Amino acid sequence: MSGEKILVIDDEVGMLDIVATNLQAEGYTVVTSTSGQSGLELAGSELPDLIILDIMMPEIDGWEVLRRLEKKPVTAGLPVIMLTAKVDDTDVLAGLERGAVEYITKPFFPENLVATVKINLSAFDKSLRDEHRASLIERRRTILDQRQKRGE
Amino acid sequence: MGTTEETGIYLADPSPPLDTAPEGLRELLEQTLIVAGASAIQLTLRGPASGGFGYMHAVVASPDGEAVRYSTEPSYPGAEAATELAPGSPIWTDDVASVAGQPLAGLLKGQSIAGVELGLEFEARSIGALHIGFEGRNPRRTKTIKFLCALARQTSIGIASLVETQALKGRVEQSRALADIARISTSTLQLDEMLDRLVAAAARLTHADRASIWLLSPDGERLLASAMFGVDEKFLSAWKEGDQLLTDQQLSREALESGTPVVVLDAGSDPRTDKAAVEFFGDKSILIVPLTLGLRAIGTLYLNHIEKPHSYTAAEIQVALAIASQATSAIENARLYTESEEQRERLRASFRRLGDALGSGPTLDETLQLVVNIAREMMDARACVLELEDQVDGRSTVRASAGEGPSSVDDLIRLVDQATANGPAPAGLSTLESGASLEGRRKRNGSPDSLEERSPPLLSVALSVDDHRIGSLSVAGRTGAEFSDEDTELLAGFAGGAAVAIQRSTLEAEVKARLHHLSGLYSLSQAISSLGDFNETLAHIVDQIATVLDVERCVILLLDDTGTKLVGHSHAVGLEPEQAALMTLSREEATASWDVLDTGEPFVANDSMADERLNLRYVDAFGDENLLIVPMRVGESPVGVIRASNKPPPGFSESDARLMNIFATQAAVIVQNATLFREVMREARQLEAIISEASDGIAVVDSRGQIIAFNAAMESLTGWPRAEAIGRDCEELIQTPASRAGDDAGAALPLKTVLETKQSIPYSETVLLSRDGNRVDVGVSYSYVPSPWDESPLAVAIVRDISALKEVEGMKSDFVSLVSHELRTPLALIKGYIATLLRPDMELDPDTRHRFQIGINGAADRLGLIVHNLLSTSRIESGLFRPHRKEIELVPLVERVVSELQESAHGQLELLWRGEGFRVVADGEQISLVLGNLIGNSIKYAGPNQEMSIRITVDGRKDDIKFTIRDRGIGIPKDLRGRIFEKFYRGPESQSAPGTGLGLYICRKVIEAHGGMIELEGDSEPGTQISFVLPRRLSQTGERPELDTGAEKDRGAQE
Repeated sequence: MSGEKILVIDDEVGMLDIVATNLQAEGYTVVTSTSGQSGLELAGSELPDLIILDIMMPEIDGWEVLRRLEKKPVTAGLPVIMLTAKVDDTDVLAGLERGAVEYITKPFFPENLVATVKINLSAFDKSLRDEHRASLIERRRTILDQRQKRGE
Repeated sequence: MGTTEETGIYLADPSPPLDTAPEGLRELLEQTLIVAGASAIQLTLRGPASGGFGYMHAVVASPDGEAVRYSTEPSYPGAEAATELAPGSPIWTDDVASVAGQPLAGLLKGQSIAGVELGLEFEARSIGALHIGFEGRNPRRTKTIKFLCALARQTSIGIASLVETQALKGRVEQSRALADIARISTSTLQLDEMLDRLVAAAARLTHADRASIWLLSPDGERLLASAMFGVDEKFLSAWKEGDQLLTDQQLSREALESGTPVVVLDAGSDPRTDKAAVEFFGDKSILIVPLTLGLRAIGTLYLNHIEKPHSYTAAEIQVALAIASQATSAIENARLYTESEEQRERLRASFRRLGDALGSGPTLDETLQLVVNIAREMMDARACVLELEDQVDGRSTVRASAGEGPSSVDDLIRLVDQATANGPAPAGLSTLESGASLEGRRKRNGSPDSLEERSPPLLSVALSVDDHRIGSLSVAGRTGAEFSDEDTELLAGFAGGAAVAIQRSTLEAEVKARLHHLSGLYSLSQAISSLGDFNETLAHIVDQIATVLDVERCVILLLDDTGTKLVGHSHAVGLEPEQAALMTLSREEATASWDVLDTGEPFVANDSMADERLNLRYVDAFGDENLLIVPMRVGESPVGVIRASNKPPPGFSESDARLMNIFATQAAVIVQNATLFREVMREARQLEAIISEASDGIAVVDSRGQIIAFNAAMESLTGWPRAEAIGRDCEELIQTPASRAGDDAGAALPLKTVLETKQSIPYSETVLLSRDGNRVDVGVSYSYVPSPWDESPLAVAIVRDISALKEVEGMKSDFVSLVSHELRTPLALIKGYIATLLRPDMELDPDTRHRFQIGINGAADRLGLIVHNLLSTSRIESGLFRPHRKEIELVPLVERVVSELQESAHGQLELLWRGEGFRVVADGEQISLVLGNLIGNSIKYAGPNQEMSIRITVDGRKDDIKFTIRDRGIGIPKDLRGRIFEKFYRGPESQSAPGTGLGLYICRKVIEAHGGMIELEGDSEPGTQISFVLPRRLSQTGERPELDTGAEKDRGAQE
């Protein structure tokens, strides 16, 4: 069990359950969110290794989440797999152009999803990832320190 | 006498040839050209009485009237035929040049152009013809032709009045000539000298080459030459000797015997002429006028034309008669002078006074008064009265008087009246046969037949010109001093000169009045040409009539639409507008007016109270003493009548009727024109109304691409107010995003292309950019409208706002992708659950397994609802959607729906029952669908915090049951509230949420089909509150539910 952390954002509770059940079975730690807003917050606080993102959501949709993830240094460069019922070629292309690593359409085969997650996590160089994470953690600590100082 | 000699004798041609256009005619023709948009006018006028023709025509090259060309020719072949056209009824012809004759045809260079042909008349007499050509115009519409014809007719009246003015100017000259003759005869010249002057005047006034006066020798066998003009002296001396035997002079004899003028038009071939003399002098035409004294002929006036034949006009003959009369008077006076030196002196003095006074050009009344004053002084009479006779009915009217006191005049008038009443030669009055065409009467005081014992002596002489009696001059002597024969002769001699002076003044006054009327008519016809206000113009006419005819009251009665009533026009003179408008005369009520209308003949009643032909009701009501009614007709069709009344005594004459007829013709044309004009305007207004009220935008551009019409719909589409749009270039004003961005004119609405290619464009869709930059989807049809008149076609754009259509189209295409997504989501869930459950490499614990099964069930329900919604919509669309109503119990139904949704609402659905009685006649399945949709929406739009707390209230009220679903979700923005029940409509907030945009639409349709109502309630912010009402029973449908008793029973059971 690698224990890598995966954030799943989808407004369908059932879908979250399905994805989480399948990934947990593979030994991943799964964090779920039913809205774009809480998903973005979780991405900042949980620092997941990979994000699975739905597009059609009320309030903040998947595209907006993707854009904001790229803008934040803490989450920039995270592999994002789009999981959506939108099946048009233009949507797929748009998703990939905007920085998503994969595009999986609903309905999906759970094995396919799991495989895609695996590939993307391993393709992401471990050392680089560690380095990246270290720097992120460093920065986060700095911020926390500053906050603590200000708070005290 | 100095005055005469210094002034000289100014003589002009009394009937000038028509080689100069009457003043104002060009302007009138130009005006017609411009108003009618005509290109050529040819006016053919009858020439002078000699029978020749003159024509004048004008041609314009451009409608601005810049290049107007005039030409006049004495005559042309076919001119006579043209002037014989029936007047008053214009004829439309497709080739005006071919009927107009050579001049117009020549100017149009053989082009075949359409136009109007119209005979001109004035006072029922043909004066010529008018041809108006409309180049490049071939109106297909009869109305337009009618209008052009009406315009031609109207112009003709203007022309006629101008031409008549011209002719009258000839009569002015005649009157001047008479004045000159009067001056000659009232001068103190010797007889020979006077006769010399008269023959000279006669020659000049009649364009004669020779003129001579011959007197019968005392034995009556020879003619002795007395005065000569244009004849060699050597003949004169011979002729004075009297070598012209009367028996050899057939023409002179004829003139002397008949007492009337003799005209010889072709002296060469006339058997009555002396061939030798004709050959010798080269005479072509001869006029011989007898000199007569009473019934006795004393000589002749001879007028000879050499060179070319001359046709004598009436005016010329009249002048010759006047001269003959003067010569006779002069000769007679000369005889009298020699008889009484003293009398001659008196007469000479009187004439001197009269002659001097005439030099200053007095008016008729001044002249009459002058004559009376001079006569009274000359005769040393107590009173003097001058009466003039009406030329029509012969009635005498006292026109001037002078006396020692008012009573002396009254006495005299009474005496004259009595004398006249007793017949032409009553006993007690001696009639004097001698004297220049006069009749003298004396009354001797104390004669057995005297009417009054002490009445003064009366002397009355006729005032005559050319044997034509115009009135009388009477003097009252002093009691005891009777009038002698010499007195009679003296007064008669004076009367001869005075009559000519009076005639001249009368003529001049008449001419002046006529000129005044004609100029009035002309200005009137100009006023009408500009198509001014109908009522104003009619008012102008009645005013004019009242002024010219001097009547107290004048009203125009128009034939109403039904042709059964004559209705007073509110603009009348001497009547309040209400009074005039109340005059509605049926055939029975106003026989006189209707007779006038039917026969076209004027009606005159100078004693209307006593006239049996009149309905006394109106005559009484208005106090009309006398009455003149003339018809208003256009061609043969009656339009109405003009009724004038209360002219000061002696009332209406025939010339009044003639004059009013002219006004009536004008008025009739105006009425007809106004009717036509109103019709044309009404059509135009209707068209304008259609355009302006059209829901589609309509823009019309002229041949240069400038906007000439722009309706309200177009205003709202483009944001440009009509006032600013008119006159602007269409491409500049009506823009598309492409045309504004790239200044690419080709991207604008292709109105100019339509004009260039002359091709309409059926329909194309584009985007309009409004003034403030809004984009509007539009569908535009372009039409090319060729002009039947000229080379100025129009292009019309009919612009339909299709943004609503586009929106629906967009919603439909969105709908397809939404539906696929909506179907895919629960399907994906089901697939996902099952695929996970079926994973061979995974062992799921029982809890997860159970959760998954519930998930599958919920997803399947969702799928079912979506399919149900789609089916319902399709049924609504195809009209098959009908509720299957039956009496149902709501409690279990609602509870089932709520419990089914409870899970997805995280158990936060709250159900409240209020009131009582929850049975209703409805389609249970459909009500479930509505509730499911509404509660589903509340769950779906719960907002980011998943704040459910959704409350469903069912309120059993008296007549209906009200359902309210209230949530604390994201709510609906105020501006979208009106649209949420539309098909496919989805607010911007819901765009990323799942949904087909059908739910609320179906809810509305279901509730409406149940006779209920659904609405978004209050401002329950945050959140949404939707309620719907189900009536307990449908009042308007025949579909009856089960019996009430059953319902009661069930309800009771439930409770």
